[in-house]
Amino acid sequence: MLVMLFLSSQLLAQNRTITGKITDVAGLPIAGASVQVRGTNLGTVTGADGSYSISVPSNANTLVVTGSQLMRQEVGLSANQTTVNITMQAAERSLQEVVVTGYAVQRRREVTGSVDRISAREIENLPITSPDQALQGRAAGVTVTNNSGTPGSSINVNIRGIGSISASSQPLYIVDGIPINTGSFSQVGVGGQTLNSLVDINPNEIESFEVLKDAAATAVYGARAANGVVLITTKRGRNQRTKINVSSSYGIQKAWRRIETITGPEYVALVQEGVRNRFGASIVPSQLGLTGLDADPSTYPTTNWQDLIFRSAPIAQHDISAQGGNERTRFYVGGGYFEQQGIIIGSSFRRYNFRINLDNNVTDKFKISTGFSGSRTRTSRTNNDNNIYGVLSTAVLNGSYYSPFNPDGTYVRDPNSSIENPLLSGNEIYNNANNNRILGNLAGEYQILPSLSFRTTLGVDYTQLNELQFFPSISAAGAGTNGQANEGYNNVLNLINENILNFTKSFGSHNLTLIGVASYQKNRFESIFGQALQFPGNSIRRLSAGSTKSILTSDENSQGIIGYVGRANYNYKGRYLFSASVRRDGISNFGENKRYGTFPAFSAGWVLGDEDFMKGIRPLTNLKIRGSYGITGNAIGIGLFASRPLVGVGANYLSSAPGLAPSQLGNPNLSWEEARQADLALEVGLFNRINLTVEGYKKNTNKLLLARPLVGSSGFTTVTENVGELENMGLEFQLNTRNIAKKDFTWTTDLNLTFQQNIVKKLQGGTPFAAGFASWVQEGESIGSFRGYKVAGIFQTQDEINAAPFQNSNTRPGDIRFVDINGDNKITTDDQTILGNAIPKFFGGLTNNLSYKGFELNAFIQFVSGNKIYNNTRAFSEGMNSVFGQTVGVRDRWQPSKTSTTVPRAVFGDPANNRRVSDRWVEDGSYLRLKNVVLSYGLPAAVTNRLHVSTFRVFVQGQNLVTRTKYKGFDPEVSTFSTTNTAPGTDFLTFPQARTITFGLNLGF
Amino acid sequence: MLLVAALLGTSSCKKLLEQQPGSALDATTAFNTPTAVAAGVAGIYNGLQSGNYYGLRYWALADLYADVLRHTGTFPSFAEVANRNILSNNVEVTNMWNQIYATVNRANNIIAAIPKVTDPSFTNKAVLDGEARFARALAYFDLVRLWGGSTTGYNKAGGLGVPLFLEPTLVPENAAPKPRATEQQVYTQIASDLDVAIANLPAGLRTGRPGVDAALGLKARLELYRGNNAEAENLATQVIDKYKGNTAFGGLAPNYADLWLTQNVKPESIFELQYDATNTNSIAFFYFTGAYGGRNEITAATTLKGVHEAGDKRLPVNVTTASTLAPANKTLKYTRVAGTDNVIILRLAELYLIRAEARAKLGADLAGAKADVDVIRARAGLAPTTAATQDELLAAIEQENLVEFAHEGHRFFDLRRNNREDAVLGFTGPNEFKARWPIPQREQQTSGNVVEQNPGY
Repeated sequence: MLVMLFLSSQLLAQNRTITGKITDVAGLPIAGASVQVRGTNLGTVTGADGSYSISVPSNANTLVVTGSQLMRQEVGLSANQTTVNITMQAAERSLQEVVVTGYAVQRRREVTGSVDRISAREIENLPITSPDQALQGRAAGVTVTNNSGTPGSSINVNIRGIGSISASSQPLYIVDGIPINTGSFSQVGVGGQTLNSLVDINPNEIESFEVLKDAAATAVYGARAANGVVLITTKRGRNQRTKINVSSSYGIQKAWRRIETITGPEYVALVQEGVRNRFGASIVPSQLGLTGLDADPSTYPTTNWQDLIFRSAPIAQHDISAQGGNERTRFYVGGGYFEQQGIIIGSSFRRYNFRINLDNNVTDKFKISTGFSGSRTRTSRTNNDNNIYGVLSTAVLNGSYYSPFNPDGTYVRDPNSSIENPLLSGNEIYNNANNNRILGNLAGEYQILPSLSFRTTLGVDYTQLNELQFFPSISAAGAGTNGQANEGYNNVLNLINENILNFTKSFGSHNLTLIGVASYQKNRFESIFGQALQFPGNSIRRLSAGSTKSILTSDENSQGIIGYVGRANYNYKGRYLFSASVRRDGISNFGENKRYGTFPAFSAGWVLGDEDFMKGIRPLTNLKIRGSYGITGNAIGIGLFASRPLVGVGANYLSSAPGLAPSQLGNPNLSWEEARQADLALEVGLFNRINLTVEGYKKNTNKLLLARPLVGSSGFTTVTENVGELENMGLEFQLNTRNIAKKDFTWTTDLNLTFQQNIVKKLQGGTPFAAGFASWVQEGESIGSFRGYKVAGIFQTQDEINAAPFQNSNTRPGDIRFVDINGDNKITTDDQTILGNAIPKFFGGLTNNLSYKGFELNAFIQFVSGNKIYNNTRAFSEGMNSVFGQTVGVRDRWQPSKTSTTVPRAVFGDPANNRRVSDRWVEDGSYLRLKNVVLSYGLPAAVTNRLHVSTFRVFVQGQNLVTRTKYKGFDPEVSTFSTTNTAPGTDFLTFPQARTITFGLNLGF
Repeated sequence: MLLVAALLGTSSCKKLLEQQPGSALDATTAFNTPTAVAAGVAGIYNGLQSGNYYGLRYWALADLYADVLRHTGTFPSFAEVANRNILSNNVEVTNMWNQIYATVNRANNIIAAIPKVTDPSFTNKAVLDGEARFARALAYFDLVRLWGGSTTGYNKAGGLGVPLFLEPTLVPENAAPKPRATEQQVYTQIASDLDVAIANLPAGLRTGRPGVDAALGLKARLELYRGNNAEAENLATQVIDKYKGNTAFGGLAPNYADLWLTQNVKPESIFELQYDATNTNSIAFFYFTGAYGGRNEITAATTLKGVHEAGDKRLPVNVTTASTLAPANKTLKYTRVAGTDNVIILRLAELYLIRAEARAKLGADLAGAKADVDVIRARAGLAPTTAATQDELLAAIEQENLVEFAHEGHRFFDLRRNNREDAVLGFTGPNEFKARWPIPQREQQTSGNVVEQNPGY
């Protein structure tokens, strides 16, 4: 009876027919997709051309489209609507997934290059400040290192290894077709961490990242592609009812580890012991001019500086967006606010941003689109890292033996040391960078013929950075000059025009796509920097208030880039895939005869799984092999006029005598770095549940633009030449499994794992050179190697010293015995050797996603293994050479009554140089980290409908909850030299990563 | 359509690829006008001003290596110098070497460019040439006396020199490594540049730039190092005689401290490198403690106070007691933490002591030697020296040099000149080699051992 009623009501209501076409993002028809009316079992399936026709009841309000390897989509129906065309998103990492490749989009199954896609979903609800952070652990072959925990600071991204020595090894970032500025334009020195231009982009406005890795994928970007390309696609409107999304989160960050320091009494005892050991038993510190260290050690207080500078810091993020449109016009508008305080006092980051993306079909043949985003960020960095005014730096290096404040509330500074009071540094030194950024594009596309289209785009990337740093008169840096202000302005404008002709046609089973591009880009850099001294108090910080203007400089530079691209993609029956491309690039940086370069690439693929002879093999749902070879260039990070012999300005002698001085030795033959990369991959799909990609590559980068060392006696120390050669090899595994796929319960796992190796093949004249504190670049070794002395224990007696190779005239029992590597019976600089390197042997990420009804759990583990860190922090905090604060390792120091075999004696001034660069400070940097866990719950549709919302989801997220490492420093994910090729993996008082817990809410209307 | 775009673009494309730097000139034509040459000469002084040369390290590290300064700061590279245990990869040593040679190259550019400028309005051609040659002579002298010579002193048989670059380095080929010349060859070059400078520089004292007296004085110093004592005496006398009547102390500033607190005190200050608010140095910053806005890197040696005789007016200048001017145990010679302290490279007091040492070594005029020492002592408020014999006088001169030129980087070279570093700094036996500083490891390696290391390193 009930059934009857149900049926009859359906029959009665079935009074209109809806037709339409289902296509993918690229506009290609999707056959076999299921179209259903929500809440009924009425449905149909699309035909070969993607079209469908369905009769629906008059009260039907939603169509549900599903399909193999497609993301389910619900489309609202308005009354009387009879035509509904639907664009489907492919399920992630499926063969149907459409990936953005240079100047085009392609279905994954037809891609012959190496392209990894990271979708918005994977980074949803994570506390990520900048887009580059999203890449960490999510793509094979991509190494991402947060150089520090400084909010808003730089991230190091290497696609397939460090591909350069002195130029950039960072990828080219392209946002909606516009190559954007990356890196830091900061003119204000803070010691270590640099700014990051990518923080101007809100990760929540990004639809997808495509990481282009091999030459086939990247060669269309020619001279800037050697280190890979990251294509960022922002969210766009869809033909759907307007959806409003609100998401909001709030959380708390904390340091996950402290370094334990010795107490005040221990500290004073140590200094006294060091002085006695150096100058004799009767000598007290005051005889060396050290004040306040003579008294009985037990009378001193203990200050734990780290307790004073670390804090629980809030992080908050609020985004709102509206996304919708109709047949003709589609839009996305969104805005966001992000605020993060650093876990160390004085540091913070804040961003406001908005974006509008619009698409309009003017006619059936003519489309226009635009995208426009504006953002303002404010990065407050403290002085840090290698800086005696740094906050964490001084919190570690200050002795623990005195109280931070005088009775009158003023700051105390250690009279025996030049370093700042950490609280003063964090609270009183002002350092803000305000950045305004506009990214815009305007495009028109005309369908000349059904198979031929022309698209022209205009893009702009405008950055305006202003920085102000102020050292008040109470700070050490400002004390001598009654305050010091540094102020810098930068204007960076990139303009680009690209014209793309696309011919796509099928001739029977032959499918052909031809693309031609002409690209013109002009970049302009302007800057001004001033410094003033002598301020009337500390409340006015601008230069105008300082009576002495000590520095005023400005500069202007520009760069032109011209590129012509041709590419042909051909396949036969979708099984035999071929692609060839070539880009001819001209860049103004280089000598007149070397301005143009040509960058070809070839690739082929064979979809074996579609062959008749494979059809019988049941579990196999996909089998494809592909390979590529090509040449790309690297010109990023090379001086804009590196080829010219220059005489520079500013070598003045007093304000009355403007000066000129040679500043650069020219090299008219200067040209690009060139990477030749071969790539071979096997893709396997089993049971429709398991996808495995195994991919190997070998990338040889030669003609490395290297600052070739010259004898200093020539008046120059370097000239830039194309001399070096590096090789990166790797094996990448990517495994995606759908372990459980039930209606209410799904569990998926994504694993990526990369083994890699780097070798420096050629340096100028084979001459190795030093970088950073302990890093060393040498032929036959990996880049990022550390070099120094080897320690063979501690001398226990004078007899041992006498019998050993001559160390140093100051060596006494309790000092370190260094190894005589070259066997000449004395320790000289030639006894230094390679002590390991900072490049991980393997690294990767593991993501597990479980969902049960409304609950979803996402756990992301990230790991690196086999890398070393040079812990320069310990070289100071266990060096016992001076008046620096010391960590608990020194409790094990050698003393006549308490001998040690690992930690030397305390001796003031360290005359035997025990703390020189040695394997004592080189530590295992491997770590495994539970990077993110997100648990979320979405209310069921029945409830959301009653609340008049479409989604209501709450979540809790934890970042860096667990870190497993043997590393003794604050954090194993570290680079004190920020983004560096030659000195990675060095830790010197670097701002550590935080442990973060956030709570949030996603609301959809 | 693409083709059309490409064709339309051809000329503008060429322009797109021809960008010009906003703040640099093409080096091949930069110095072809009188104003550019003058600016190039300013560039040479700018080279001297560097913190890796007279702006701090050249003289401060020499004093740190000797017994004038001690290390109280954080730089391991300074500690190596203070511990007299310098490794050849010491970054300060490398930077100093490179900076001094960069200054030489600036001078080479000007010396080569001047004859090619034919502009008739270029009237100060000779003076600028003289200034460039003076600077080049000074730079080579500073190179050879720190890295060259012998472990037993200067001007000995087999004394080592430094590479001699006398032409501008314009293209990479010019930068090919050159082996070290002999000590004698370097001296010959210095003398020849100084002779041109003496001929070209204007008479009298100038502010911030060398006049003829600076060139004569530097040559007197050179001849003393070379053991040409008669010539040294003669050259020193030429300068002393011009100014000895100017003050009650033989031309010396009546008040020692004024030389630095007032600055440019003539006639004593013969060549004083100038700094101002826009051309600063970090000298006081390196001396001063944090409370005074410095980094407390260097401090007067603990023994320095004790080497002053009772009542020596130089003591409060050389070893301070805390005041508003400076913290304790620093010097009043560098008190402007904003970086505007001048650096005196040559002053009349040195010429008295050069002449005293030359006369004492010659032996014929010991009374003259004593008289010269006493000029210095009188200004310091001290009684005439009791030294009478040649040996006593040489010891008295060494002592007077130590006190008079503390914080000016003379001490180490005074010791080396008389092979006294063995006794004073302990450079005997296996430490004999420490009299010479190591050639930077970088220089040696980059040259493929064409530039040879000093034995012992």
